[in-house]
Amino acid sequence: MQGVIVDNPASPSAAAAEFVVLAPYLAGLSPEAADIVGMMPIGSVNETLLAALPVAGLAPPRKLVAAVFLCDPFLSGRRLFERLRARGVSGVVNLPTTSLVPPGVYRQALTAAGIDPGAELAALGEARQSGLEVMATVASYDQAARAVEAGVATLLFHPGTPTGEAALDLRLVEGVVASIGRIRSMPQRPRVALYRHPGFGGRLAPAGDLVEDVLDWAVSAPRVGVEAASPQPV
Amino acid sequence: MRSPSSSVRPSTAYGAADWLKGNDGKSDGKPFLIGAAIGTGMIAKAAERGGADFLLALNAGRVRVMGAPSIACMLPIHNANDMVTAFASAEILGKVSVPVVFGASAFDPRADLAELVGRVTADGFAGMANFPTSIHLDPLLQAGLARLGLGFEREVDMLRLAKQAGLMAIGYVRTAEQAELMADAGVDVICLNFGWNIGGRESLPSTVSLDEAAADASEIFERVRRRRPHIFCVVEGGPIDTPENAATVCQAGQADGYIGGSTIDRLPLEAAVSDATSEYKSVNVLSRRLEAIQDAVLGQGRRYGLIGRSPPLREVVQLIDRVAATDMTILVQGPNGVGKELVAQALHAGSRRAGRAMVAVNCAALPRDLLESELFGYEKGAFTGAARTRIGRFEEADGSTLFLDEIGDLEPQLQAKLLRVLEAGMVDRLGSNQSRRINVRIICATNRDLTQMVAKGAFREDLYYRLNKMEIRVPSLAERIEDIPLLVEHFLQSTVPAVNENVHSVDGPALRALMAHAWPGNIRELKNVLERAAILCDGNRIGLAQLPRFAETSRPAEPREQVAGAPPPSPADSGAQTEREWILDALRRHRFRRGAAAEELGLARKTLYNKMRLYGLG
Repeated sequence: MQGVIVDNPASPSAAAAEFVVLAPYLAGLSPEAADIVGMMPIGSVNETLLAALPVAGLAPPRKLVAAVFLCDPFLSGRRLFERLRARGVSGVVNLPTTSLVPPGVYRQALTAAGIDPGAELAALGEARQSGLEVMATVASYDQAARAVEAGVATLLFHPGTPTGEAALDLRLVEGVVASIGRIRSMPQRPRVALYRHPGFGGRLAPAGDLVEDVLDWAVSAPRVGVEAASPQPV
Repeated sequence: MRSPSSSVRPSTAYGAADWLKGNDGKSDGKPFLIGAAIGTGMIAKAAERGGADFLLALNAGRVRVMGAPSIACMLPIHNANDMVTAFASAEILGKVSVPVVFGASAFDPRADLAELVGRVTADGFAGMANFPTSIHLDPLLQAGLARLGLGFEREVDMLRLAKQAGLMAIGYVRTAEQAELMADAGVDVICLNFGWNIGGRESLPSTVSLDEAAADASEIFERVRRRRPHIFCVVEGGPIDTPENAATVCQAGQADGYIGGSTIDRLPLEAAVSDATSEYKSVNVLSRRLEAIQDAVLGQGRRYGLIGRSPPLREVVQLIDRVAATDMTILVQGPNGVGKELVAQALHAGSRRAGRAMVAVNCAALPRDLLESELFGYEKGAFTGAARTRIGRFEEADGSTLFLDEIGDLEPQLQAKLLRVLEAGMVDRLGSNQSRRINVRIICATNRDLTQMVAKGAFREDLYYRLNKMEIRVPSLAERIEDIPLLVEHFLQSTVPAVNENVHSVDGPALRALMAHAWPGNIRELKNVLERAAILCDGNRIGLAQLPRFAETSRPAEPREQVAGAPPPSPADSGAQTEREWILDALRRHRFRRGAAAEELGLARKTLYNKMRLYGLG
């Protein structure tokens, strides 16, 4: 299936796609900025999402997956998931995600505070209990294995952030192909969608051949001083 | 430096408002700065009262007081700049006299820094700090941000703009290179941050020891001062979790001050709230202990207003405890003035119906017709004068308890109607043919012998058995004379002050006279006697002079005839069940004259006193 990640559910890209990942927090960010500052305090991912969702009663895109931040210490997951369902959302994906935080002191500190991929998987489990489809963002085979072990059947493979150095990025892509190959051979046979990060260009094509679904960047272009939709309390 | 706010009262202390101007570049001319990184108005004001030289309004402070660890300030759960603007504008600006510094995020590429600085200036902040900051991130993330133009250099640019706008600037740094960049940008204060603070429930592990922190500070501050000798260098975070630790690092690291975050809000707040809650919790425990002590002294019936520790009263209290929670119909028997209504109230209070008020009716106080309409209610026009419908006491007590006092005085016709209510659970208003279902617990009381009345046909036998599912007999005061001292003490504290607040005790002879009296009017009579005596009392102690009627009975009684040379009766000889009763009987016989009682019992006076104290007999 062909999916797109958008900031606006009414965009033409969303209308043409088979599935849509709605991530309004990304509005005005570049794909590279999204990977890093998407995890920074530049706004509330979840409140912005609720503000951007179609009004209840209107037909949402074919398959609408909401990008949610699941490590919010003030989040009432069940309440958020119920509201998402009521607004026509069929599934959730953990974006932005701590899975993209590289190993180091910062990740250790986050983990010590309970802000880690394990917490996100637990919240995804709650989303599933609320009747939503769940998709887990992973950036490695190990993360994929933990997600599948936690009962997640659909994965969104994030290739990481391109460095801009061709040789380095090529090695990154080789790693992506290898990881996806291993995931495909898992006995649980999870369904895998590949996020075709624009920063890698066509270099991700071999990885795209290995998966059922692809997700392309279709967020509105970066602008300085862009005002996001007024956030709604979660 | 800008004034923090036009509405702020001028600071008289040598605080942050002055320290930049006042600094002459000599270390001995610098004050030791204390900054408080806070997130609420309450903590801001408390920090100011504690002597903080400046405040940093940080999103980290806000998430801390919301119950999250400081590191949550780095997450996409809010817009850091909007959050700080919101709480600082509402709670801090204009409400403190020390400068307030805005903790600003430069992460968002969509934000225009010049516009942000302009907004911070217009809002009345005295300065800006780069917080939340990329210095907390690992090198890989910092490099990623730098590639995007969103890294530490953007934070430096932001503070450069702040300085150009006339604001004070505090540069958060972690390395010497960062410190030099900030110093070159012209910031006023370098804050060397050692990472997230240790300590407290939400603490994070520190990767830096106190020694390492001191060494880092010493080296970095030296490098910075080589470029800007007059710059202020302060430390924050990591292993510094006490003033002593701060002193160690500051002294060894040649720091000019300290910025406290969780160390001045969350850590002391957690401890203080925890301690205070614990103390209040202890109050409850102490209160329960006090109740237990009062129960031990005044008897367990104290909570029902039934004062005394005598065995007959204890039996009553035990029965109340046993049957209160049931819906059982109870017949309370006992002479007038013993507290039958108190027993009924205790039964109601211990039941699940306690949430609603008990309804009480004295069956002897109203003529038959009036009592009927009082109990059952009536419809409009049911009889002459029934101008409107009125519900009766049965309906009024629906869901609660109906206390029928003097049930023995109920006329036969009403006995029949009461029986129907008890059997069917239905009540008919006068003038209505519509029965209404009610859920009422009935408690009755009487001073009459209902069994004799049944035998004589004055009381319906079927009703008697309906009412008498459980009988509680309340003893007369004469049966529990040993409770008189406790009752006297109780009335001295509860009702006597209303008539004479100076009276606080009854002397020995008067108390013995009271204990020697037969009390036909029971507790009610005792209460009246005490109140009357208190009115007559000029001093603070009631004596026989205020109890003329009792003076006669207090005279020594004729000793009982005793066979010459016969040994004094022992507990076994006297047939008494316990030593307490054996002593009490003797005391009664001698109208509580302890000398005579001791002599009869063959006990030394002191031994008798000790035993009386032991058994609560005076």
